[in-house]
Amino acid sequence: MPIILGQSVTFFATALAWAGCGAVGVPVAIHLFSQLRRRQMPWAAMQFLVESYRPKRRWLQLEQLLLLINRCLILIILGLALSSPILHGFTVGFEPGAGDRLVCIILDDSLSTQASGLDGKTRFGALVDAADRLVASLSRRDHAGLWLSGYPARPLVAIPTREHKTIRDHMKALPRRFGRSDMAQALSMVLDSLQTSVREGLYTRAEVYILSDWNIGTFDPEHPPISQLAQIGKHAQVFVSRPAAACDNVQIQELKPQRPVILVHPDGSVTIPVEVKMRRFVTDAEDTDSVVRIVGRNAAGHLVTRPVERRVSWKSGQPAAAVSAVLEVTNQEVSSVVVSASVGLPDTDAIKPDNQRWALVKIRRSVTVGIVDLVPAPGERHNEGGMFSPADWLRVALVPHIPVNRGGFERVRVVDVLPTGFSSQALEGMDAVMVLRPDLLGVAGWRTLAQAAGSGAMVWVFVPPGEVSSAWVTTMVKEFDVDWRLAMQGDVNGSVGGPWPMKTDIRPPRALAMLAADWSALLGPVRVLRRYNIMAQNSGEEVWLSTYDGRPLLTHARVGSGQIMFLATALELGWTNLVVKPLFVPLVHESLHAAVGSNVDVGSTQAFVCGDQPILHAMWKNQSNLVHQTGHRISLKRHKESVSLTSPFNLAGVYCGQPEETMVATVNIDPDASNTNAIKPDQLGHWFDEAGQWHWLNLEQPDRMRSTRDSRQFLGWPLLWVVLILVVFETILARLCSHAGRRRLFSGSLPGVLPRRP
Amino acid sequence: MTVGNGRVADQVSEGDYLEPRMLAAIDSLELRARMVVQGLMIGLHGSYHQGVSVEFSQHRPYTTGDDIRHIDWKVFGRTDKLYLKQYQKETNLRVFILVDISGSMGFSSFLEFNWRKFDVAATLAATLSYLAIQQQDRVALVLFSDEVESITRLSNSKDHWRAVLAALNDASFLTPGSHAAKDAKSTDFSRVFDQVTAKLNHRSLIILISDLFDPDPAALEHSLAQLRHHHHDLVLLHTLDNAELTFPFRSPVEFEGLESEGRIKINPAGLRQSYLERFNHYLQEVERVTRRFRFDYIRVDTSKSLAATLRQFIALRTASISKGR
Repeated sequence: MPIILGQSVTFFATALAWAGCGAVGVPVAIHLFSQLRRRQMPWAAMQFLVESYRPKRRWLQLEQLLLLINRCLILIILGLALSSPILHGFTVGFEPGAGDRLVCIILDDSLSTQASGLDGKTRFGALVDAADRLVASLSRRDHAGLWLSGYPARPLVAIPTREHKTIRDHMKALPRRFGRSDMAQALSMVLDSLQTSVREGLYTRAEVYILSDWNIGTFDPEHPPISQLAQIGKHAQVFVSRPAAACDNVQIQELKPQRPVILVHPDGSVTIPVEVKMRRFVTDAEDTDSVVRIVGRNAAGHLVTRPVERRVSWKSGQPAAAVSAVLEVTNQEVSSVVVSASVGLPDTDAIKPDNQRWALVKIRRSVTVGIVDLVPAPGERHNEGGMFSPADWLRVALVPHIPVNRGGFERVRVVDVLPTGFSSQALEGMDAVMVLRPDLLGVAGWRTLAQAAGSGAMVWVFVPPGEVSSAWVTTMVKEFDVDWRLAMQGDVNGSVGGPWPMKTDIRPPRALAMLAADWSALLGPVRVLRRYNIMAQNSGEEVWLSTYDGRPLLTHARVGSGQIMFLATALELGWTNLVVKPLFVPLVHESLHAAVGSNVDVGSTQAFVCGDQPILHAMWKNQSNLVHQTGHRISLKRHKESVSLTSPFNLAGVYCGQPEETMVATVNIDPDASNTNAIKPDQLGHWFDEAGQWHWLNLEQPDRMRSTRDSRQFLGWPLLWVVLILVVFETILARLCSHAGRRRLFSGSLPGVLPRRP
Repeated sequence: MTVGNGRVADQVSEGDYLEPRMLAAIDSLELRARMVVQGLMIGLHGSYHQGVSVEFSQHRPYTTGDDIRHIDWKVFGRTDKLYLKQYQKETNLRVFILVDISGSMGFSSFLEFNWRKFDVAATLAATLSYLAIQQQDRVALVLFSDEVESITRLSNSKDHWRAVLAALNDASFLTPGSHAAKDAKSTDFSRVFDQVTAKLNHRSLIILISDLFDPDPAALEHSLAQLRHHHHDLVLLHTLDNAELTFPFRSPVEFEGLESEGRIKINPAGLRQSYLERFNHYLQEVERVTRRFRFDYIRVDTSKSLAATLRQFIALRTASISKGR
């Protein structure tokens, strides 16, 4: 099929184009006239003329025909060139039959494409139809490949094939996907395929078709895949579907329990505070109401909390809303609760799967804290003057105010650990270890503590009171492999110039976020009289508290699965008044909560999104499958220290381990996956300009590969060059056909028969 | 204008008399021939070699009416009696002038005046026959195309020259102003020479005036061989039109054969080189064949003055006679 220009070309001066076409009649008329107007010549030497004419007859006729055609072309093209033709957009004539062509199709099967339009047809349906028409229009010699950009991006037909029917069958059987679009990865895969093809010289041409709804999130606006597009543009022509029109969608953006691990209240009750954030992608929607339902279930799916409902009134133009609730766990025996939040919406909501979200909360009845200190003999107190020792202060902060014998239960179990000779067995099962006499620990003790931290415990080191050497700091730093150091040996006395106040104009660390509301007020009264001058070199370490001069007071670092904290002052009034200020107790408890919550043992509460194919902790090693609440099954593969999934998460929801159903993982939809707003065409075009020449694709007629890119190409100059070439050709051809040069062979007195010598 | 003493006239040169334009303006063949002779005489300028045959052999007494140019004044000085010189073959040479009257001889490329190859041939034939008769040689005219069309008797009388002129004027295809006859014939040398040699009982001089466009090129060689075998002599006046020699055409032309070869429409520029190569090869072949049999060959260009042709003819005859051929 020919290259189709059709309405894509306009002429500034159409009359000149017609004049050029009409002028073709002039050389034709001259030619015909010369044929008719031949002079008649009686000739005697006919035999010689006939003998000369016969072998050259066809060539002579061809000469004249070539001249005539060339002259006609000159006039036509000159007329077209002078009429200032302008090519609007670019209509590609790579029609079926081109052959030796590589066609790469990227199909976006992310969640946003499940949005349906006013006609009830989903975006994905339109994209698949367009891809199907595209593949159906390919010639038998064309090779096609298909890639899907839904996270994780993957090839469906990685090796380009001529089996077009296979590709079409694959497309028709594509399941729904719930991940976001990973277009960058899909482009990388296509680029690899193109580069391989170029290297092997398999194809003469290549084309890349990207069929996507281009919702916001398809490309990371901070890091668009410019380099991939530029590389693709070097090897192939790029055709891009236009961004889809925005449509109404409400999603639950986040379901966040206050803590991933909930400690049972001192009175034995369990409440789970949660916050639900929602987003609304609207065009010009009116006010509407929706109801958010929050409920907790156990791994088996049975209710363990009373459902809570919250009403949200959406005003026109309102993009977000948040509700909070506290779930009361009714089943005291449950060890984990799957909290789910769902929002009821009218049918105009474009995407339904993002209206529900899950989160896993672990319930802990108690935590075990070890205190490493010298234990005084009965009747003996090793602090002077009857004052509280550091251990006493800690116990007061940790022990529940409701005694066990009064109906309370041991929420925090405190275990004394002697600083000398303790082993890893002594620390087994401890969630935290508070080291009050670090100066008494040997290298083995520090090593044991480091191993405990690596296994998930929190180790909190306090400066020992009294005049002791600070040499232990070096051992601690070495065994825990943290980048701390003492600026000077020993403690620093802040008595000269007054005690150090706390630096209050800082934000609390994430672990202490619960204290954020009162942070400044809590820090204000605290003073430090004596302290170790510790320096934290590595920015990986967090400084949770510092004095007003900026020097760290409380530092934190992750160690393996656990963590280490170091308070650069002693828990004694001679050193600081922290122990008697309101900050101390919540500081201890929130630190403990954070330690317990970040423990990998509770890694099952890790947030997965649709499309993830994570490596799970070894605690999953006894499981053979993950089973979705719908029955969908994902096999697990065991490795030495970890467990992996054989296929990525697709469905959102709750996955239970098999055989242990109490092992639970929750998978949610990536909030960006259901953002139904699209990237602006100008922005998208700006990115694709990196690919060189690219074209918009008409989804209605992808097989015609029409483009409506607003580019205009003036064809006048190229046509004038063509005319020039034809004129040169005409000159040469006319000279040759005149055979004028050959007269020089007979130059002399007789321009004919060679002169005969008498 | 005077003749006999060789002085050139004041207003007309020898070249003017023999130019085609001048000759074509003269309708009468007789007058034309006389003009040629006159022009030739002027050009020859008192040369003794003015006849077909020029060898002096003996004297005879002068009688009234004889050409006073042949008076032997030395004898008169010695004897006070007028005697004429007689030349060797004055009474013995038999001259057969063969003139081609086939269709191809009717070709002329001149647009302003009518000067066909036949006109040139006829003028040459008339002139040469006049000169021969003047020398007391016996002359016969043979007109041929594909066969001998007509043949005059062999005679050297003055009346016979008029008969020759009449035969030339009556050539069947000759129509004033026309270029070709409706039923123009081609040339067949072998047949013509067969017919001619049958009438040659004695050794003769054949003057062949033709364009030699024979469909069978080998026929000429055969015919010449025949003549040589019978010890005849031949002078070939190969008469060709200048257009045939130079093929000067540029614009598209429809060529029509004069001997019923049909028509062809061509763009001449593309064929010129090829045509000239073939034609030149043909001319060289004819000349080579002619000279191979030790006959004389003269190419006559109808656009050129006849003076050179006739001078060349006379020179060749002089040389031939000197060699005793």
